Amino acid sequence: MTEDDVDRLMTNDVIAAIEADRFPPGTALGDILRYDTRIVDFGPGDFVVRENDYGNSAFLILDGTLQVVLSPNLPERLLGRQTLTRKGFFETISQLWTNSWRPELRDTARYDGQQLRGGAKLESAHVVIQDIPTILNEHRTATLGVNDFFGELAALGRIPRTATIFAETPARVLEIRWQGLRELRRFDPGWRRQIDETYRENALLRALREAPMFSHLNSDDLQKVSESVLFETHGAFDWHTTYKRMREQGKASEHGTVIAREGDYPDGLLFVRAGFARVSKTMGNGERTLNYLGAGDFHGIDELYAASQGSSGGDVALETSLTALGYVDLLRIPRQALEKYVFPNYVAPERRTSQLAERDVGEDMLMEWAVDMRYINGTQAMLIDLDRCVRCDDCVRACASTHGGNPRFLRHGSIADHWMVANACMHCADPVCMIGCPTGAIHRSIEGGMVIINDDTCIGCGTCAASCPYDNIRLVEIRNNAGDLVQDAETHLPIQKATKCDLCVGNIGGPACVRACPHDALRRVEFHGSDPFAGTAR
Amino acid sequence: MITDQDRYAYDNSRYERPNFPYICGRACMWGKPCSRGPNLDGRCGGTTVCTPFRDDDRWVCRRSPAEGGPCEDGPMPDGSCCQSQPPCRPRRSIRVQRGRFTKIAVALTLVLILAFVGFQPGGSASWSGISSVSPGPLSGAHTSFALADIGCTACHKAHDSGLLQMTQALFEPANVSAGCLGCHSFGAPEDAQSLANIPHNNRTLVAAMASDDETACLNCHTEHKGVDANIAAVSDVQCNSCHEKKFAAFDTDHAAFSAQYPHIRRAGIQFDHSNVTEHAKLSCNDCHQVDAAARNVPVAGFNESCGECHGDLLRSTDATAAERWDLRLLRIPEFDAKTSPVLAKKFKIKKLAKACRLDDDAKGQLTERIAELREATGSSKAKAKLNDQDLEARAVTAFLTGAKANKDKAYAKNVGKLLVALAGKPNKALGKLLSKKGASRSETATLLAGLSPDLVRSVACGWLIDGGYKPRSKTKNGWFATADGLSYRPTGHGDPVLRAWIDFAVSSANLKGKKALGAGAVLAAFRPQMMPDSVLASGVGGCLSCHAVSRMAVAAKDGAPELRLLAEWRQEPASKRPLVRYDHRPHVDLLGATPKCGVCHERREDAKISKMFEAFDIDVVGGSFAPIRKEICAECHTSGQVRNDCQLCHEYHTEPGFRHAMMGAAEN
Amino acid sequence: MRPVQKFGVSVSIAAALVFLGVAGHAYQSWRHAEDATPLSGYILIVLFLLLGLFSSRKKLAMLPAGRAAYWTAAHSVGGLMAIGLYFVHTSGTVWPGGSAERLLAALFYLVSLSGLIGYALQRLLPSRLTRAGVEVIYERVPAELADIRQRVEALVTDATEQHGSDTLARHYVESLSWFFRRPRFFFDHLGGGRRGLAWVARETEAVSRYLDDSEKTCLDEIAELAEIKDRVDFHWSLQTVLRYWLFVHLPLAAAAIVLALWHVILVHVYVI
Repeated sequence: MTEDDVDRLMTNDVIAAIEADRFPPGTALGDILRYDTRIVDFGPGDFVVRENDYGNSAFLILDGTLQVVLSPNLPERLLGRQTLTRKGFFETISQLWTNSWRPELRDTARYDGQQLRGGAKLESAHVVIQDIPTILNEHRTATLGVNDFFGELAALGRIPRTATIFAETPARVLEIRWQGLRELRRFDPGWRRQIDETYRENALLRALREAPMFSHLNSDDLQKVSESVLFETHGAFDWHTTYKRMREQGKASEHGTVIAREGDYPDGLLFVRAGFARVSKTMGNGERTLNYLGAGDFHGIDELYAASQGSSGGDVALETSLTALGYVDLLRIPRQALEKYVFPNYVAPERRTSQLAERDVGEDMLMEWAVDMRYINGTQAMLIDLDRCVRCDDCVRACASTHGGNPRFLRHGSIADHWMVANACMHCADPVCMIGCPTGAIHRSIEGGMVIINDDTCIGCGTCAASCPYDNIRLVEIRNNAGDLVQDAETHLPIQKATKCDLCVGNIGGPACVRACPHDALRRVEFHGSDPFAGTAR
Repeated sequence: MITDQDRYAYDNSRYERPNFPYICGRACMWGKPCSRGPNLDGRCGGTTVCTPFRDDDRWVCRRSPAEGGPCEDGPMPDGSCCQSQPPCRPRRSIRVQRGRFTKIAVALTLVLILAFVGFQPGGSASWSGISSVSPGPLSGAHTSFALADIGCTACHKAHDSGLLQMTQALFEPANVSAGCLGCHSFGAPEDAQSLANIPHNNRTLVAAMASDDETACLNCHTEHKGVDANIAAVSDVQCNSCHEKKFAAFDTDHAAFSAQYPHIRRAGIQFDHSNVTEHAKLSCNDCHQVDAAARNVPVAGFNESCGECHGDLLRSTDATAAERWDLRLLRIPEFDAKTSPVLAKKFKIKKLAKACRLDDDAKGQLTERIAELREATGSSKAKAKLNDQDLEARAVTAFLTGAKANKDKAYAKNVGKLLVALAGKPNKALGKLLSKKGASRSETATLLAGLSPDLVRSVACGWLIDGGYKPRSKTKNGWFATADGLSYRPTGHGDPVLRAWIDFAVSSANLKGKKALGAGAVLAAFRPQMMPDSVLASGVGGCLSCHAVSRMAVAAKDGAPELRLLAEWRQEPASKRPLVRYDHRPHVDLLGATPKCGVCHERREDAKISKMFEAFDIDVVGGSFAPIRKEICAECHTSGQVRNDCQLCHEYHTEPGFRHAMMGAAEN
Repeated sequence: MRPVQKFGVSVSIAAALVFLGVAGHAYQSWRHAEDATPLSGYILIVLFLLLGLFSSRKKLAMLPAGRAAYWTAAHSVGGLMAIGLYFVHTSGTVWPGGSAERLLAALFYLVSLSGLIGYALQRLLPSRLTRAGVEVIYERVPAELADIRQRVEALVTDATEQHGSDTLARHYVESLSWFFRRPRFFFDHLGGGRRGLAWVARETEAVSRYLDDSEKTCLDEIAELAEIKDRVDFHWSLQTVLRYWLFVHLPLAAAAIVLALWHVILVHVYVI
């Protein structure tokens, strides 16, 4: 971004409408434009965003026309994703003789069909729509033109892109990353209003609709509630970069941004819409993690309910603290809404959250550690009980057997007591790896929910591998059927592809690693309680 | 390194590939393994660190980022990598080695099997016995006979019959048990091949048995257990499983022995062990030969046992007694007025003269005498009454000639006829008489052994011509003539002629049909002479005072058993109990040097031996010794002491005898 | 109790019942002069093949053929049952007569023994490995050791350059280098001893009195690296055993199955 660009941007209608005075000197509008935005040019047919992608940025159209695909959705293949086909029984058995111990063999003929536009730099490769008129004919679209703004929900809420948007004509777009967007919303009331309205309409309402405690409300009441609800985001969306840096230096993760402190007055119920938050209590000189909250969980209801029943004797204070783990997107539901809509039907649980502190510290050690390592993000963390594992590598062999002879994880990783979290993709709730893929090769499968990399469209840029906070994605050099390394035609460097665990999505029977362990030492878990294997028994 | 914080980073740690078959040779030698690892063809992949790439006119280092990216020095001018090292020797991975081990093990096993499959198992423990077919050495007996002669095919018909046959045999029953019958007969007839004929083999006997199959030999007799294996061992538990009367141990539950055990019948020789003082004084082994102890302890021969005391009895010097022991073959009566004419009618002068070699004078005398006899009339003198002795003396003659001894006239008539015949051809005449009464030719020969025809003729002629005969010789041994007939004196114990006469007398009782006289009648006829009426006296030869006459089952000509009267000349063999086995020998030795027969054989003081021998039935038991009770055996044969398992005394098979065919089989 | 453990218990009970049934039937048959050897024989050969199938199942990891943990439980129980059934089949004979039978018996005993030992190893060793404090992938041990060795030698070289005296360097070449060259104290590690550490302590103490303070610092760092290396050695020892016991169990089992099939063929040709 050059100075000229910044100047030119300042003349843009939308930008010019921003009240630059409102921005403090430390975060001047110009600085935001300079450091938190960039200008991207798209050719006709280039995808700007793909539906269900995760993104970190919002877009302002400077020039050109974009099309939003409304319905029907574009086929997955067109978006660079793979269609999910499960192998049949015979094909599964045939892997016995078709698998090869030669690493990463690929049938390179498959790659020719992909609509990849190459470039000297890998990151500028795009998946492209070849036939725009057909798309426009077959799908209902909406046109976006100059000064149209979109993508803020994904950037600020970590919500998957709701629609696919591609460039119809050559277009120039201002991409604003989430840090800049946050500042803009913070200081400019116009942007705040627009962003908040969009948020309220989409994310908030949907979250409230899906919450069990409001499920009995009709739409009018729900609307009223949504209007009274405040929302806020804590922590950093790029927590993974900080996390990686800390891990490299051997430091523990930071405790997290404090949202509500123990002893404070509970200003409404905190409802987690996305992200993770830690519930903790002061213990000695530290904070003892009692639990962690994910999407759909809430904080402070015990205290608020007790207050509403008048049983707390006057002062109402939070019994536990709430801190952000990575980022957390919260809804703050005011007491009035609670007392009107929630508490009449509410049955208080036998144990209050704060009573979790009565457990022995040793019992919570694993959860404390998992929270610290941010493994709570994972929905399918590979957990190995080292007291049962005989280090036979049958799990790795099984993983290889379902992937043409190539394993997709490593049997090493962080260890706590006798538990190891191996370097296998955890299919996170917050998949930061998916942010920034130029071709949409890495995506979340709608059917299964697992994060998959489409080998055909992956260009090996390494963005996902670098993003993954847990080092679960690896780039491999591919070989053709003869066993020779495949080289890029221009640079003569070996072509790499990103690979990771895909939960054996194309195979029958689910993850082969779990099946293959002869000593019941390996499970794919989410972290709860002291026995992480609990609930995964089969 | 292992303590680096970023050792798991995606660009530091590459996938481990457990299926990759090669391992860097440097790593195997504990050097630093190159990052590339072995090539796909198994050769070292780390001779160079990178493969330089020619970019227009420059060579560019292409070292991977994992090793630090492009090196400072760059490639050599000729395009080769600046950091090269000699190649290593990649080794196969552990898994590949394990797979090879397994394949070698399987191959080795197959080779070993096939290598030794043709070996014929030889001796019991020699190395030539290595065979992948034989499951071990046979028992000693089978090794010497079956294996040495015929080989494995004695029992296994499929052996060595070729690959195709043996493959067929895989699916057909081998029926080894049928092969056993090739040598073992089990007392069944030659042509009886079925296992069902073997006692203890027919399961229909035992209703409780579930299976209808016959018991195959192999069910109990497993071979190939070594040279010294006892393949005939059966345990008490197995016996109990079939027998309805089950018992835990011999000494506890076994049924009591039969009431008269071990005696089934009375002895063949009347011998009172207890009540005769002299007998009671004897020691058992004075007569019973302990050295030959087996199922019974046999009595020594007459000379060694009874003869020690009774040897003289048969050669008594008392003339009267002796006379009574003689066989009176011919007793010629007084010819008186009643009998004479009858007699004279028969006389043929010419014949007589020729037979008796009469000269003319004698012939003239004869003619006169015959005339006298014919004219003899008058009342008979007061007939001398016949006493028992006379009747007794006439018995044999009466029987042979067919007349009753006490009917004088008939008797004399028959005797006269006999005399006339005897004057001519004595042996022929006697022989004819004997054969009429059922004696065979050989029997007749024995009956008349030693009887000189001249003697007979002299006696006959004397009586016919002179009315009497004066014996010339005084010696009375064997056949001799008396004043009134012909007698036989036994020469000693076991005299064959006398024996033949007793046998003849007894067997006459068995005659059927026209010749039958009924036992009672015959013996009544003979009894005076043959059968003793008191112990130790009378009876021809005194034989039957000790030897019993018994009615016993004998196999007739057609094989079916029938009851016959027999004189028992030998002691009876030990009773045939096919399924019970007893041997005196271990007991004799065990009970000490001095005979302790009384430990088991308790004397009975109240035995009435003579009563036992009054009739011909052999079933009367009740001899000098009390029956042996189970408790006597159980004193020693009890748990913890001596063997008391079933097989000690009981046989399962009756006779596992051998067929004759076995001997000839070696020639086949 | 985890599902696999519950399954193990159920299979054990079922196997015990089957075994008791077969043994009881064999006894009853013997009592009634019938032959039950074929029954136990057929069960045994089927059991052998099923036990051997475990190895095949591992190669078919791509198929959902049941979790391997269940197969392990079934394999262990099946193996124990095979041992019991073997003695029922041979009517208690421990050492048979013929050559092929002896080889089969020997192989079976070795396979069973190695299986029992292997089972014990697999229950005992993993927690000891975990408690070692480091975790290392077996195939990476040479690389790790080379890395440690490199660092130690760099330390030694540095110390020599800085201080001019070659005491440390010579001592390293004469004694310590032996330790860092490759995994050492193999059997001591198996026994759970600490001979390696004691050896290092002795060697470092021996030379430390000839060093000045800064050299001693270097020596301390070397000792730390030696400690890490000792733990890697520990892993090497135990993981080697955890891999190589199968070198006994698997090939002998394959040979035993071949011989068992031969035995079945022989019995059918000659006896049954």
